[in-house]
Amino acid sequence: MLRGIYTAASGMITKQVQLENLSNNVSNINTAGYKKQKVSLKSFEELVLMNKDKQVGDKSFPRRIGTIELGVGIDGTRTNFSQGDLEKTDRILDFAINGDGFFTVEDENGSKKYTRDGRFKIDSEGNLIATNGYKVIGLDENGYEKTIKVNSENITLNPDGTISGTDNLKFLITTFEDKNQLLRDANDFYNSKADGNPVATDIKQGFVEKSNVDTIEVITEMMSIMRSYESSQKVMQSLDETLSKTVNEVGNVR
Amino acid sequence: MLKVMWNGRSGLYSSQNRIDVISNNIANIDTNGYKRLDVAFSDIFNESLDRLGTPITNNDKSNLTVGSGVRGEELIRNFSQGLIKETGNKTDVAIVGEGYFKVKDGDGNYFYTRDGAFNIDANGNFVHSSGLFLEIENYNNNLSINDNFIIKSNGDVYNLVDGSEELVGKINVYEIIGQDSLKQKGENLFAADNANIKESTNLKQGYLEKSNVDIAKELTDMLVTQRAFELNSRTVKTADDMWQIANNIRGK
Repeated sequence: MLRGIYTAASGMITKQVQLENLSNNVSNINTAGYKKQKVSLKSFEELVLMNKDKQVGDKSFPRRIGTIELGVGIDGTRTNFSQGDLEKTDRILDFAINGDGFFTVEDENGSKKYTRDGRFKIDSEGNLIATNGYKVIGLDENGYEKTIKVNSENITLNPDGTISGTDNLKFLITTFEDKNQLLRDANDFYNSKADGNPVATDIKQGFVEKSNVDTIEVITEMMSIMRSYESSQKVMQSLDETLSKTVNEVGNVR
Repeated sequence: MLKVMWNGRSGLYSSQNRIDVISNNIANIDTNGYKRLDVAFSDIFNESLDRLGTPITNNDKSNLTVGSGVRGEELIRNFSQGLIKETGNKTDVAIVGEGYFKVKDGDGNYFYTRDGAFNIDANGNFVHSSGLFLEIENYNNNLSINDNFIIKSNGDVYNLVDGSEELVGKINVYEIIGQDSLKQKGENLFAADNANIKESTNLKQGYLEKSNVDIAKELTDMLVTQRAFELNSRTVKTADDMWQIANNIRGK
């Protein structure tokens, strides 16, 4: 009976975590380049129940009763990297990736980070920077990596991918074979243990990639999370009632 | 459950910020040379789920994180060209393409603006709507509002006296690399550290650059933000309902 209560509790706690994750997706519904996350659940490994009731002579034989499951736990959080909608903004420094890959930026220590948020700025030294100040990395014609420096007031993305207004650089777009190894960092950036590969992807100037959080999915998931939370609570309640009966009523003489 | 509420709160708060910015854009729809602003949202750091009381089935705990809401405080300015509107007023000048006018206050501080609605005061100064003076090269304050003067597209100012053109000065246009480092000073003015004279300019006399605010876009953004606000309040409500369910485990 106690075991059952813990199983119901594990259901409630995991639903709570799922709602935490969902509320984070919702709060980022207007974050450019945001990729929704999902919490996947898995039941704990089954246990086999056995007893040794069967007795022949003075020997007892094991008898398999069945299996028991000990509730549910969180197996992992996965990021859904599907493409977000592109919204036209006509802002010169807005770039959106239409397809695979990430913009590559460099933090103040020189380590690379990856993002799909292409709302850039130009700082007073002429560096193309992400909104939080990380420098955007480009590729020159020989394939060397350089931070993108802007020589004129504004920049134009040419059809061949070079950016005029810079030293003929292209954006360094990095892709990864296994996107699941990417770890989320703050401010829409991802860290990677492995180096990715540069890829030529269609980039659109004057567009922003919206977050891929889907309202309908959010609403339905929110309802189902709440209802199954409620169900687990009911299970716990009736187990508690049964427990109360055994504790308080068994043995009573009427 | 508390965490859901904080996440929801951060979403509500940022959406509110965005509505503030949108309403500011709409308020400035008739401000000459105004450039629209938008809020750049970004997610906050991801927290590990490996904490007390949370059942976890996976042995590898590196990818078990959940985010902690959104931040919407960073502003992004859209410097695209505003609509050019004819006014027929000879002291109105619009910049086509990039660049800024340079104006000076009484203390000798320089500011930059795209608002070209000038006036000539009694002393012959070109006065910006904020009261600051426009910098004109080689200009000796020798124009009055009644003079017939022409501003060429390269900035040269000619006075028409008895049918002959007399060069009286040059309005320079300044380019600023790193427009995002401009500091907003109110009244359509920006302060900048490094501005250089722009070689090729295209000025239009008798025209004004309107703001680049597009009312349709602002209203769409407002709707989208309002819905995001509602959705965030719904997560808070759901968290509240679930909290109630938990509180009622031993209810009645």
